[in-house]
Amino acid sequence: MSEFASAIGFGIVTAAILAVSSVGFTLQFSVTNVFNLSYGSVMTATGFIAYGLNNAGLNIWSSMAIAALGGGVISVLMNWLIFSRFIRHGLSRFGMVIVTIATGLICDNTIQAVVGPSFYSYNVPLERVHDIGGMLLTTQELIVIAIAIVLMTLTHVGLKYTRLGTAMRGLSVNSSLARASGVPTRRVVAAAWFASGVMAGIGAVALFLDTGAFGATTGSSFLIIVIAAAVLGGVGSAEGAVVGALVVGISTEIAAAYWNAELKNVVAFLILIVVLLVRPQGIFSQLSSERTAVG
Amino acid sequence: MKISTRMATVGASALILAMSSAIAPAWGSSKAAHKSSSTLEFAIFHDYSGPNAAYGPEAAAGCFPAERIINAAGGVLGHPVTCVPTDAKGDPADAVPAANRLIASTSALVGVLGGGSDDATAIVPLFQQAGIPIFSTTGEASFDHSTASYFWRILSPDSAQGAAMSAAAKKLGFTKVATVFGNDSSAQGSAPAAILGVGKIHLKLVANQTIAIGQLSYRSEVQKLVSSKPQAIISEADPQTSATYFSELAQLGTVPSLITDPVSQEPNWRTAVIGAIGKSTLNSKDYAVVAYEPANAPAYKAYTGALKASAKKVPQPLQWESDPYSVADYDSVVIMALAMDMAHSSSPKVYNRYITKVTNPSAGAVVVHTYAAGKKALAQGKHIQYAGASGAIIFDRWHNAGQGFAIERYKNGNWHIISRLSAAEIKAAI
Amino acid sequence: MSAATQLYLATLGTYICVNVIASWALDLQFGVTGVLNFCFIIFQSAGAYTAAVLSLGPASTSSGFQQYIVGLHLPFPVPILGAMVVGGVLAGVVGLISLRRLRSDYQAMVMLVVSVIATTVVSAQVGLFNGPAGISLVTNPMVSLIHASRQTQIWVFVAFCVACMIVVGFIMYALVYSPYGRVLRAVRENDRAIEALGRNANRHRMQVFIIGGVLAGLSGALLVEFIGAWAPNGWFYPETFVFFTAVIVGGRGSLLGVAIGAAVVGVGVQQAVEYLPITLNPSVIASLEWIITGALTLTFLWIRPQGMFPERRRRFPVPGRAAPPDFSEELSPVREAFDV
Repeated sequence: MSEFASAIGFGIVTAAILAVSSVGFTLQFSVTNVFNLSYGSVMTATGFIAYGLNNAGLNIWSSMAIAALGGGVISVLMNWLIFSRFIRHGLSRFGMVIVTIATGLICDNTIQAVVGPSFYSYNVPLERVHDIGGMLLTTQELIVIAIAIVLMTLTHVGLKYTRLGTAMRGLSVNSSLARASGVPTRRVVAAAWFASGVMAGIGAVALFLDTGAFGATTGSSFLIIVIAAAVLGGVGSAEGAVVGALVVGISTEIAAAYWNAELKNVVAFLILIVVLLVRPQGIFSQLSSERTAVG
Repeated sequence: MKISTRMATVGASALILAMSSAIAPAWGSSKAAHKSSSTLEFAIFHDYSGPNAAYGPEAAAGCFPAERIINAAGGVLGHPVTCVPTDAKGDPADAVPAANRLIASTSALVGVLGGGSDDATAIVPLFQQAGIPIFSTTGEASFDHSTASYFWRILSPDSAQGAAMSAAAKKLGFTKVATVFGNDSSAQGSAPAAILGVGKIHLKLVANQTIAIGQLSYRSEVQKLVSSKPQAIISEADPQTSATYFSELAQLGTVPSLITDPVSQEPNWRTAVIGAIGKSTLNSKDYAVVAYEPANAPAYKAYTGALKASAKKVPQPLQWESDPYSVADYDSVVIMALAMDMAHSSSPKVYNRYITKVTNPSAGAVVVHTYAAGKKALAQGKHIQYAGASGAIIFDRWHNAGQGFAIERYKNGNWHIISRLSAAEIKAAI
Repeated sequence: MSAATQLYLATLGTYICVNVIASWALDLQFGVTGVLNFCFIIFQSAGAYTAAVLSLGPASTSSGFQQYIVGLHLPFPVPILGAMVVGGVLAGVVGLISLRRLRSDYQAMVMLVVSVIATTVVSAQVGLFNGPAGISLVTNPMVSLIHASRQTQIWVFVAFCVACMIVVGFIMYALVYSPYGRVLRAVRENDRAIEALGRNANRHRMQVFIIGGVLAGLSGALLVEFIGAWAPNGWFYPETFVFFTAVIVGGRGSLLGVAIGAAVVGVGVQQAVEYLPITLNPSVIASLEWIITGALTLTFLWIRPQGMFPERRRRFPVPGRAAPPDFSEELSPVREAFDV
């Protein structure tokens, strides 16, 4: 298979793994207007929850599901205990960014203190490689791609056709109007945080499966890439997150194949900067007129 | 500006905090002055945080067993010894104040295990200035001709390590090799020497890759590697990077033979890579090129015995059993202790000169393998040569030891030497 | 006092001066003008690298184990001045890219990404600044200037740092407590009003971005000349956050407050944590430092968002009318401060 075609193919695999995490980030951001830089630590935490379960004998996919639920709970708790209180206290969107950074630092370092500097791996059966149209993919990668596709479809359908989804979209475009229309803000916001935590969990396990080994810092080191994909596609849009993930995934693989493997991330970041310069709201975005955070 | 009482208290307490952090070392040192009449301190000045957070526990796994053995033999000049872990934090800007604080906070400090590749050039001058011997694990070329009299390096420099890896490739019969090194300071230490060496001994370098560490995917890099069809890969990268790379290599092709360095003998590395490609694959493909350790049963046995017994201070001690850095750190502490015995002084400025006297061969010297044996021989007025768990340690005039190299494979729960590289073979690759 | 204790105190003194200068720079950008400069650390780093490569000789002479650009072996104080220039120029370039009509959080994102790009590029391009191993063997300028004992040389350097800090303090005072400072605060609080009055808010943001870059470069130069080495591991993007905490804890806009915040957060927390009993695993201690930094931020943002020493609220009575009501305690300044 030509190098170019395989680079594209590899980019798609990377994108599938990134997409889930990016959608989680973007969904929560669009509903609450909180730029959550502690997302990486939620990913790390859920990755380790899955490790604990997996190590105790549960198979990896069930561990992923349970850990994802755990991630949802953690996110809801973080919002309830910390973020929403600061929002109600009068902190604006800007100050909230710093709050999320601080929270992320505390979480990350607590995990590090507990888990130490060692590396861990999931207990998975030895991989079987399948040849799919010239691309070599393992069973795990296929399952992750399938999960990503299912999740993206569910998110898209959910946002468009369910009441909760409509409420979320309403809040994201104009929260005061949505509130005035009788949208139960707190519940919808909690649902958004829960969904974001669940996707963080699934994304984290997918990521950690892909890297083969992971430690306490792995989640936060992927945070920037995840956010880059989300912002590139236009925050608030699930399709945008997928497109962003594809752009990031494919551009990094092509850069690695044809240019400089050490600087492949820089290519993705430069694309992000250029896109934001040309189109400040990202590729697909409904730019919210909101100036305040919603909690 | 209205100064409310709350503000005044906050401001005052901040000032007090800042000032006391300056004064505290003075208190600390006077406290230590009383202590110094009893315990002697060896500092473990390595990273306990940052990207190389495993260096600290690794060094502790050498220091605490040595502490145990030395105290069991009656200590040094009647004083017990103790290891003091201190975080070097992983970069020069944080390591320097930490080092200065360490030096200032106790006068009982007699020796340091410190100086990894990420901070050595910044902190070795500090210990040199303070006149405290520092046994360093960095392989950086800048220390190959070090003029710092208090700097000591047991393990081979990166330049020799890289050359040895290419010499090993030749010895093992490979003609087409690829190099894959991570882009952190540790791996980039041996990379240039390895790449140069491959050229010098006329092996074919089919691919030369420097990969960004900690990435999600190396599939394109792996694809390039696979299409260049190497028979063996000379590689060093941190545990996570290696795990990701090799797992994708296993997926996109087969894993060729791997020629690695002491990093691959660290427990973290093995755990990560085994988790990614499986134990049987790793063991069947990996050739570790490491400093030559002669079958030094008594010394090594003393080390592993003390290591097992130090489980309280070294969690899961046995994981460090074959880690060459831990073993070298153990020997370092024993050497410093023996030097103090021979010099009849625990003052670093005095005993530093005696370090070579207890390690380098001299006429009529008794070869000893444990601290107890060495202490006894010294007490009888004899000269000794300590050949420790790292083997014979002979310092050249730049305080570098660096022995020969051997190729090892992991079989049945332990590393076995399958071949030794002669000095000539290594020299051909430099 | 032993030589070792003196060196330790000198270290603390230098680090406090450097942190204060850097925190003031960020205060100018973020505290006074409201620019969320999430790539602040790269300006300090640019200053450090510049000072290093200007004061070191050509790379080829250092027996080839270090690679870096330039290497002009310039005498003191040229490397420091060069560092300040580079800090300002880099700020100008980054400002051009990021200080656009972007949503504030996207702006923050762009700056974060710039910070990551910087560490990636410097690590990958070994020829620039010796890659991941970093530059080392930078000598303290006082060593060649002052012919006295090493201790004296170090104390002279500390005195020089204190002098720099005092000069920067005067500059900051002139900027912040002046009509110009009022314009900057207006940019922070209500940039639309400022534009309506005919001033260009973005131009002012660029100005403070550059001035802040110059000061950050100075802090980096002083730091590298003291430490002697500088490597990418020391300036990853989270490091910016330490300075943000200093500004928030100290009180944004207040020079004295930020200075104390810099001393407490930048140096105090790190040193205080070291005095915890040694039985605690050292890696836990390192994590604790970050946890305390994060907790300090949260605590201050909650109970005292205006910081230890809040900015003075100015009230101008309208002639002929009764004095306007006092809102200084009721309004949360942070809400207005951070809104863009």
